[in-house]
Amino acid sequence: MRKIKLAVDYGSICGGCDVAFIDAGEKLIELANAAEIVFWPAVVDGKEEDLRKTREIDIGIFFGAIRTERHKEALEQLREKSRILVAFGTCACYGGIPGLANSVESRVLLKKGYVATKSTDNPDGKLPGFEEFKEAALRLPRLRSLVSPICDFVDVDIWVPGCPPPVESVNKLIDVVKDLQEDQVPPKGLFIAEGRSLCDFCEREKPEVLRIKRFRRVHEGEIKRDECFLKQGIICLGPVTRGGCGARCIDANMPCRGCFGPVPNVEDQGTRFLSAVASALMAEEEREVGEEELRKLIDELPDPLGLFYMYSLAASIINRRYLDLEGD
Amino acid sequence: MSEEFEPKIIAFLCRWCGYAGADMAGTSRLKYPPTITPIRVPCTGRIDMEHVLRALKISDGVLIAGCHTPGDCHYVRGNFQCFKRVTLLKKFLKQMGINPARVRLEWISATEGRKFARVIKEFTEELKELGPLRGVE
Repeated sequence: MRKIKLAVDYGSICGGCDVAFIDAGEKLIELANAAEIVFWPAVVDGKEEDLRKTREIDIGIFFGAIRTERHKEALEQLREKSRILVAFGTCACYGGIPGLANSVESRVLLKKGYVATKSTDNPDGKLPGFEEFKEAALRLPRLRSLVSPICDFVDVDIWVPGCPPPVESVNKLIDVVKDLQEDQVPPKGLFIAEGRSLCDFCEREKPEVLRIKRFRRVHEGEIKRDECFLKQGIICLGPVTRGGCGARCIDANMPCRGCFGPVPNVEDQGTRFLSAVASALMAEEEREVGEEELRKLIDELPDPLGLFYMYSLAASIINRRYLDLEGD
Repeated sequence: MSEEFEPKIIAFLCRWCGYAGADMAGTSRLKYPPTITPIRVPCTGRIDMEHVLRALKISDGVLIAGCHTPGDCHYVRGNFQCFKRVTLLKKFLKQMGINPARVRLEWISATEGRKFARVIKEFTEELKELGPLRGVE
């Protein structure tokens, strides 16, 4: 059987997606048998030259969000050469945690990183130069003003959400590669995840009508193992998050943070959750409680941005900082 | 800001109070600036915050007008639903560098044509002061 040409390139990554592949264990032998790896910095000793010289690749997999100009170039090159492009991991699909940087202007980020932190010794306030280092033939890629998911620039054929994607997802993707050997092409827009929300797969007891008396953080008191987190007042993004992760966090008695991205037909995961959780607060008792008291209860959620948009800010409706207010 | 800037406001008006209040302003021949694009909704509780964010992307401010709390809502507690959502949404907007004053929630009953006209006037002035809504490019 013919070998499938496979390449992996990176955007803004933490390395977790590479590790997710390692977790697949023996299944990797099947991948090695089915595919010829043209380029994959963490796995084979290919250079970028090799990728540039290859005319066509069967399947290109992209990890990470688009943070710098170099990421964008890498993505565009991979798309151009690949018959099938895979967005692997939440950063590639939705911007992921790096996307939270969109709540700050890039110049503020640079200043914080290179000047303002206490441990930095930089009396002249010099920011990283983007000029070329001719002697070393080096060029520092420029930071883009926004972090973006890859679908902002290219067509995506297969989506594999998860931070990182679980072993089951990696296995399914390896099966896709094996199917390609027999010219079985997956449907465009395939999600290697479920089409329903995480709540559908969660075995905790859920109330008929959800009412939240007050919000509680995970370290405040004991968390019951068999009862819905939201009923206990703990923020859990299960209702708006795509299932398919195997409910790993839920089983470990930790609420969902939303890494699988929004359920189908929802564009804005955070706002959808915001609407839902606000409705549940003191539901059917609002009249007795009154506006002032409700406002106080809502103030107990100090960071809706970080909680509701932890993984999807870059792919949301309001996906960038606006310039109305001062500060970072 | 320059004198020419004319803010654009998208107004979600509840069918029972806010929209009727706008009608009242009209039949009473009250004057207010032509800055609003009204959208009639069954109840302020029907307004998804996604609608508000989408509206903000193509305007300078969003007005939501519904029935007075605690007891005027035709559907018992739709106005409170909206109040809770908008209160939480404003916190998010602030974190993203958007002045929360750009989303304004007002209770305007069917008889309060005057209040409707006053709110539009005030909000328009306030938005003129703030200038156009600009994001990082």
